[in-house]
Amino acid sequence: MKRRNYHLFEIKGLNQERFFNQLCKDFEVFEIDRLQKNHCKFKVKYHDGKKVKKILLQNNYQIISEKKAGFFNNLHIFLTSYGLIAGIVLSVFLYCLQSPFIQKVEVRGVENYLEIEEFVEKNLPTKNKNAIDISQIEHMINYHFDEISFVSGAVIGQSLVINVKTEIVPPEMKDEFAPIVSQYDGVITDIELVQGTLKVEVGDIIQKGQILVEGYVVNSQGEQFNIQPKANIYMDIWVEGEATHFNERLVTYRTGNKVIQVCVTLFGQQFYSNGKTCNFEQFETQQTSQMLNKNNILPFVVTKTTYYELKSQKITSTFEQEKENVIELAKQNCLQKLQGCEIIKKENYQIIEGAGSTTVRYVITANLLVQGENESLHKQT
Amino acid sequence: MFNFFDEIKKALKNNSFVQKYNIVNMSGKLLYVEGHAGILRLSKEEISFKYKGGVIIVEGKDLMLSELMPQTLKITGEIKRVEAL
Repeated sequence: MKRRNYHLFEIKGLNQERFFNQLCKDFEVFEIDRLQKNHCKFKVKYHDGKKVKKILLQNNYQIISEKKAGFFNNLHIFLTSYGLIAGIVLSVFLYCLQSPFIQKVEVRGVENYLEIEEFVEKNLPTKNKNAIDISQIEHMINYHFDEISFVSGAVIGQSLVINVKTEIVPPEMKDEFAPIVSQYDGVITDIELVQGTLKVEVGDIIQKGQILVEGYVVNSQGEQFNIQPKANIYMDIWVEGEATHFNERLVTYRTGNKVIQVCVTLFGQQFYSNGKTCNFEQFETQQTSQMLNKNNILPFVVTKTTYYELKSQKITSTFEQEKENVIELAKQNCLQKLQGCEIIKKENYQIIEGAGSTTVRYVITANLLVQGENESLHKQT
Repeated sequence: MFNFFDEIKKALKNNSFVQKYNIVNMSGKLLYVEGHAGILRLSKEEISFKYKGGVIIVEGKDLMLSELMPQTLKITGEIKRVEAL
């Protein structure tokens, strides 16, 4: 029987009979052709070729030529020469195979997108892109979720992207008759009532959260009608801000030294790492991850971790040295609590000394306009 | 030089049938072959070789190729069977 997978050797050397007798103990030798006394050709199995070659060289035989043939040889040549092309062809084939199908449902525009995604995935009649009826899905979502006012779907690549807008309720519809509530502690200085029932008077001390104007009116017959409260109420308010100075404090800062670790993972398994390690005693980290490419065929994830070296320093200072800065800080903290349009009437501060620390309490008295229907209303909601 | 096979051929009137190959089996321990055209398979139990027009299979035990020349070969060992196909 003629063998198709073989490794042909053409050799030169003496005492070949002995060599063949030895060789045939371990390997299958066939088609020995003695051309001259010290020159012959013979074949061994394809997979034995490397071992036989090693033995030939060990026995000081001169290999004039070698030839490999057969399916395995052709496969080897194909894989080594055309491996990249074969990979591309295979990738294209796999891509073509899975491209007509929806792989992902993506919902945009709402916070509870997971619920809608789950609903769509459950109720998707088919995953075939061409067979999906987008308008049917849109109707289905619109019908099932009451809070949604607008749905539009589109197939982008292999994703079914659904844009959703939640129902926008105008404020007068949502909290139409909600009362005007004070957001600050203060004293009422002036009231201009437009509509609604007033619950306070000029000179009243008001607490935060107290109702100023109720959203109803009572007519002469004693009937109560709901109405949107509207009023301009002026108040003197007090806003406090604090800043504390410590005689001794520990400040931590970055030295500027950093180590960047980069690793590439595939399906959670580490594929590549730059091998850098962090040897800092104190450090803080920042980590970012992103996909290496945008397709879903090979989801390589690149994770970059940056280690910043930190150092701590003990700072000692007296309050007197830092007094102006601390007062300014307390004032800034106080001003942050104001809306920005108030008229500042009075400012003062108080210094409270403690064990190892000094606190500055800054108080601003300002005149504030509480405008009923929109501003205050929205704040309380 | 004296050649055993040449002498036999001369003695025969019609010697055309001895042109292809000649084999001498000596006590089943040594096989001398003249007119081979290359070994097809070599192993301890079987040695097969081509001749002009066919294949000869030698079966035995502990067979060894003691001499291999372009036209002749010698096989030693325990020769059990020689078959021409």
